[in-house]
Amino acid sequence: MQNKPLLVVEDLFHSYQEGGDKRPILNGINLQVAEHECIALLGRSGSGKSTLLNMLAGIDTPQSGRITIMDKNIHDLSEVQRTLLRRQHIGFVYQFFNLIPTLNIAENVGLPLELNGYKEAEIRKLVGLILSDIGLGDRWNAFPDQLSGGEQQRIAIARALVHNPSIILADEPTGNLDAETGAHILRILLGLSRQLKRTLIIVTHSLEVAEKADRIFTLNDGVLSVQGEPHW
Amino acid sequence: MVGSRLWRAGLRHQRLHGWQTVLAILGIALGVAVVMAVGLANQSASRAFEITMQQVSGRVTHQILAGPAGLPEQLYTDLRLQHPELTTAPVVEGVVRIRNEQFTLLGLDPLSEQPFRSLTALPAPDILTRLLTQENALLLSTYTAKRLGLESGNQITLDVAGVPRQAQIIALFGDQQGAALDGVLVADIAAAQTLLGQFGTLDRIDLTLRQEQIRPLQEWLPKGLHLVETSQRTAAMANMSQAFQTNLSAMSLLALLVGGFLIYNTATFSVLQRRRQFGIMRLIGATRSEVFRVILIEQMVIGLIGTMIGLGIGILLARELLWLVTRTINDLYYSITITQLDLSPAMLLTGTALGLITTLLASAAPAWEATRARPQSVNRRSVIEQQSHRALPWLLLIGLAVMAGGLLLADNSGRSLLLGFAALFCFIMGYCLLVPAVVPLLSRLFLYPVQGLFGTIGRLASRGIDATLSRTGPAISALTLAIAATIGMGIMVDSFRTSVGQWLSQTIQGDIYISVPHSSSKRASSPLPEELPAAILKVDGVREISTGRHVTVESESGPVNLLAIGLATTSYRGFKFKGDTLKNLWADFSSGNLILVSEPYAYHNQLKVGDAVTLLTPDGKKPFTIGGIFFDYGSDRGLLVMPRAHYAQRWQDTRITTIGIYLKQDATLDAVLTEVKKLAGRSAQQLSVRANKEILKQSLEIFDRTFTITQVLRLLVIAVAFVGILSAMMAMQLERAKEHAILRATGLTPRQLLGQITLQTLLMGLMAALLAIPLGWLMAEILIHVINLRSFGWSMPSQLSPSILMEAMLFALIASLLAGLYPSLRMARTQPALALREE
Amino acid sequence: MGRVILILLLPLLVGCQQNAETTTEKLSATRLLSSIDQQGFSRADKARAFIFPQDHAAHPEYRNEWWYFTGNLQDQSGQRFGYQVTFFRFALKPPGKKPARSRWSNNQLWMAHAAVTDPEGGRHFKQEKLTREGPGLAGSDARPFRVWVEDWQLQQSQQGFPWTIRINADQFSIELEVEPTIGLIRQGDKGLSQKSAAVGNASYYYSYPRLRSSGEITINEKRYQVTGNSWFDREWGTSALSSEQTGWDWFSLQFNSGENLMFYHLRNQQGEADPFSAGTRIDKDATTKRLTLSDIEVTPLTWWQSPSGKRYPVEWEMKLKQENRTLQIKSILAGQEMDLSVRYWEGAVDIYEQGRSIGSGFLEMTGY
Repeated sequence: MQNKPLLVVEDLFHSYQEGGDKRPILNGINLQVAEHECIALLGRSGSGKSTLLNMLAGIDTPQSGRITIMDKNIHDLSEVQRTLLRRQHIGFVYQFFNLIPTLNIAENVGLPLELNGYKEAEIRKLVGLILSDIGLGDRWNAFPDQLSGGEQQRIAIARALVHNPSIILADEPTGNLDAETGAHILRILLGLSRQLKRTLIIVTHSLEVAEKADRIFTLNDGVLSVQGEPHW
Repeated sequence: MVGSRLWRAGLRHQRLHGWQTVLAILGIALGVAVVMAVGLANQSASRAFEITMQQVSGRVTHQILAGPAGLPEQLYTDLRLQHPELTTAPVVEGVVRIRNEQFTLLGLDPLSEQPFRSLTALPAPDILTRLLTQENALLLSTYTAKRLGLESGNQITLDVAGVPRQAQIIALFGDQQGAALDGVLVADIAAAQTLLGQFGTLDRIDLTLRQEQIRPLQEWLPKGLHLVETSQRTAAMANMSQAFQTNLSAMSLLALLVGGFLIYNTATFSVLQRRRQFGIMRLIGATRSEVFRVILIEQMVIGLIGTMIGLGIGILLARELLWLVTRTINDLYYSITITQLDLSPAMLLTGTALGLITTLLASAAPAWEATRARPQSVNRRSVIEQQSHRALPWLLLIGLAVMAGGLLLADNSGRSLLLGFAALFCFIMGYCLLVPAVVPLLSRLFLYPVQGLFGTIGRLASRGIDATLSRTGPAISALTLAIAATIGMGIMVDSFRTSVGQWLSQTIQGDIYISVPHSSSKRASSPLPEELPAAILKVDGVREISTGRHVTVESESGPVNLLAIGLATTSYRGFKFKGDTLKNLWADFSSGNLILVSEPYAYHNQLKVGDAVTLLTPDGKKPFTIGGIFFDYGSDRGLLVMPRAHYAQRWQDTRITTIGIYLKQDATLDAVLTEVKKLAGRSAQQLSVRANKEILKQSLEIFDRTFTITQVLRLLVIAVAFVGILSAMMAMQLERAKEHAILRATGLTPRQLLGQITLQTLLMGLMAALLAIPLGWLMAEILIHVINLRSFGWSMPSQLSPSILMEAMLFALIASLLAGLYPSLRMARTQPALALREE
Repeated sequence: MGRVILILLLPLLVGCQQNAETTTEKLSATRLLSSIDQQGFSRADKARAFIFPQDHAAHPEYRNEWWYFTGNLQDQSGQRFGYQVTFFRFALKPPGKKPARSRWSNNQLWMAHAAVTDPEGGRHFKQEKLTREGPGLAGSDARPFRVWVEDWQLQQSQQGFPWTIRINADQFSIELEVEPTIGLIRQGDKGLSQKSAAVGNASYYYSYPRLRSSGEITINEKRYQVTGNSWFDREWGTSALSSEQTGWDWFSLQFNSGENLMFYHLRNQQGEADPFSAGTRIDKDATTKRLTLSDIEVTPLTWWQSPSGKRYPVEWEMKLKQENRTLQIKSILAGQEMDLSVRYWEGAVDIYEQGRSIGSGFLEMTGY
């Protein structure tokens, strides 16, 4: 723990209503993530990984517990403030890419910049830079449905990183891709976040992916357990 | 900050789903068009009335009026000599016809006119001399002259109560461009008296009075004369057609309501289709209000385009509606001619505002819903359906509450027409909210029969409706409303027509009626030749006759139509009374102690049996006790009836206007009719002799004529509804393209898919039709028992006509069938793989 | 004293109605005369025997007719007043053979002008009434003699004289009893007064040149008991002036000596005196002497411009050539313009000879 924590999770509890029963999904989670750290979150389907991630992004709220991001307790924030926090400081990569079908690639990538109030010229410059970083500098005007899955995910990563967020959350970014493409995507994601010195939290069920992280956690029955130490 | 990228996404979406956008635009356009057309036509009619009144009444503040006999012209002389300080002008007013068109002949004294009107302001002195000296000189408005193809100098034949008279147009007044006075002929007072054959009397004296002059004048006026305020009288006249015009406006609002549902529908679809997209935007960091604004503004742009197109169509449509409105007003109320469509900015603005507000309201709900959902649920379709099912009990509750509120309002809003309409709209809205809650029930009900008939396809079709309630619910609501509107209006007109028919056949007890086709006076109908009754009684086969005199008398609340009747022994059967009458009604009636009043008169003046109506008689004001209130659909302004002998004595007027002939048992109608026609032919006047069947037929023709406008509106609502059904169904089916592709991929043949889609839309059409029947019927009940009563004072039983229900059902099914056709054909033609491709 | 202004009234009606506020330029009398159809009317083409009281009442077979009172009055304190009361009748059309059934179609228009001058106060009040005869709105009766335009009227008493004039205007009223001190005078040739060359361009014209008058004048609610002398002119005809004649200056003078003089000075387009200008001298005993242009010469001395922009000579020199006398005739107030439907100047004057006041009278000027 060479850096001060960027993200602190304390005693997080959450359960889902299922019929008449309550199924606990997060059962007292505690976690501290430092700046520039890369964390992998392992777990089976339905173990609550995505829920935890959504809570970190401020798009879901826990039933109890605290989440502090960049010294801000997100419970104290209004919906709008949470959205602004997300807009400025968080990048999200999904399993299903979630590109906007009616926007072309450059527009998709430029959207977070625009929301953050960048000027159009700046947007063009930054979008150009990141598109060439991910090797799609020549596909500006293509629409998502004209791209392969791997290409779409690269665009999604570009969109998550383009506005230089402090934290990148990735929810099974390779889960929908073949092994080779997945590996490629992962390289890009890890490479870029390390290069830009971002904090990365990556949810996955692949040990192979997890091993590339600084720390690995496993979420099991709503309880988080440390699986490995940093390998450097 | 709403970004251009969010915008672009919306724009491209609309472009991709162009058909949906077009139908949404069309829906709002048609809704706005109907409202605008009716509004413009109404406004033009009111404006024409205003202009006519302004030019005819000018700066007149008060009028002196008398009974049916008019006022003696010596009174004017006395007034001038004894009250020279008052500004006064004598007026003779009559009705003449040119080429069968009715005109008001205004006889004025140009020398007294200057403070009042500018009608006799003439460009050359010699024309004034001619106007004053030539016995048949007329002035005509430039507009009227052009319309009739007449020029100054032309000779024309006037039909004065059936007698032809020659007159000459000596000059035109008013310019052609400006608001023109039509339907009015101006003559010198001497010429008017000569043409109308009305010597020694005036119809009124116009005055411009200051406040302090009123009392002394009232005290000076002899008995039997009445000083009335012109503005009150004008307002009362304008009020006569107010209910009719309000009704038209409300009907047109119904079209807009249907149009609004259409917008709601398409907006909902449009939003639902992009739920995921909006979710992503939220994930990336767009705030709720940013997304909300983007959706709303996008829909408002569609609304604005629709509204603008609607304004255009509305103006075109208004030109067509205008003459229908005018004709009805002319038939029922007062004579106006509309020279041009009054495109007032206020009206255009109202239309625009209505279109935009409707769009705003209709699209706010889906837009809000799109942003309300938590972003993490973007990928879960089931959540939406769960939510919409969870909302059902609430919708049911709210719907029932709103309906109950509507009924309560209808019950407790007294006599207010506007509140009546508010209640009607409440009720309709409530019912529409209710519909989605009933849909799952119905689809479960349909499930087994449909499954039995069509197997898996039927099951899929029926289950699909329930499973996608978020889309099918509003669509069926919109459909229900549209169909119910046509049912409601249909039942209302049908019940009305049936009541009028029954009333007519009961009222017309005589076998043959004689009258003068038109009257030259506004105060009384033209009298028949004096010797005629005696001559008719001598005709072989005539058992007895009834006689009638139609006049307008002054009551405390303004002019009222009075029918003085000499009853035949069976005439009394022609009266059907509402509620109880006084005891010994007919005995007391013939002794002259009682009068009978028609239902509308009683309603509007809040009178009941036993109350008194005060009438201005030549001996001053006299109260008359109401013996009974009879049903009468002849005039919504009301009618009073008293014995002719009594009237003749009180008003010193023994003339008669109509004769009803009752035949002996063994007499043949044709023989007597021929004989009576021969007798009537001897009169210098043209008389109308008609058998009762003919009157019945003609009356119903007039009825149909006055309801043409309602029928046209009903058709317009149907047209909007049709587009609504088409767009709702198509939107729904096209939106489910992916689902259909999966079905195709799973092994459904194009034919089977076509069958499934068609079956589903038909089922929805059927549900809507079934749900529309009670709503339509209840709407009709409100229209008949609340709206009609408050508008016109008529009560009548409602009549549920099966043909109207069948018609509505058929219409719903055809529209749904057509709506299902396009998406299914399109699906059948495309490769399932294309539709399956992840967006 | 003949005042032919009446013919103007038709166009004025029109003028008024076109724009009630800004009455258009009023037309001159003589220009209009020729534009109105004279067909079918009787004409004053030969002398006639006057029969009274019938001839006091209207003659609808002639086109125009008037009853004209002017006078100089004073109250007990010596405050002076001038007054004018005129009833005009004007036929739009000759009467038909049988009367029309509508009482409005008798084709007779009536107009009345009334004015009061208060020279001390520098005030001149005037008002007009205009109506058609209609069902008794205006008219005249012979027995008893009566002329009325609505509530304004002239009425004989049971014995004949005095006559009563009753005018109730907005700002003033006039109620006078008048009785002749000199009998009825036939003007012109036994009552036929030729105005221009053509036969029939004449009127029947008689006068009471001096009527003892007493009664009450009210100005703005203030009453004055007045006495004085009036002049009554009575004239009817169908046509009078020729198209060259553009206006006139009409003098009716009452000398303190008891003598009286009437002179109308017709002007042509160049402003020169027309040869048909004429007059009458009337002595105390009612003997008359006809005067022609060769007997009298009038010259304007002082001009006054009215608010309407017209200029009128309000002071004249009158030369009685045979007697070799020179009189000055001065208005008692310059502002006595009758700016009504018809615009003219009509006002009270004083007569001076060698600086001495020798009488008073009335002056009418048109065509300026």
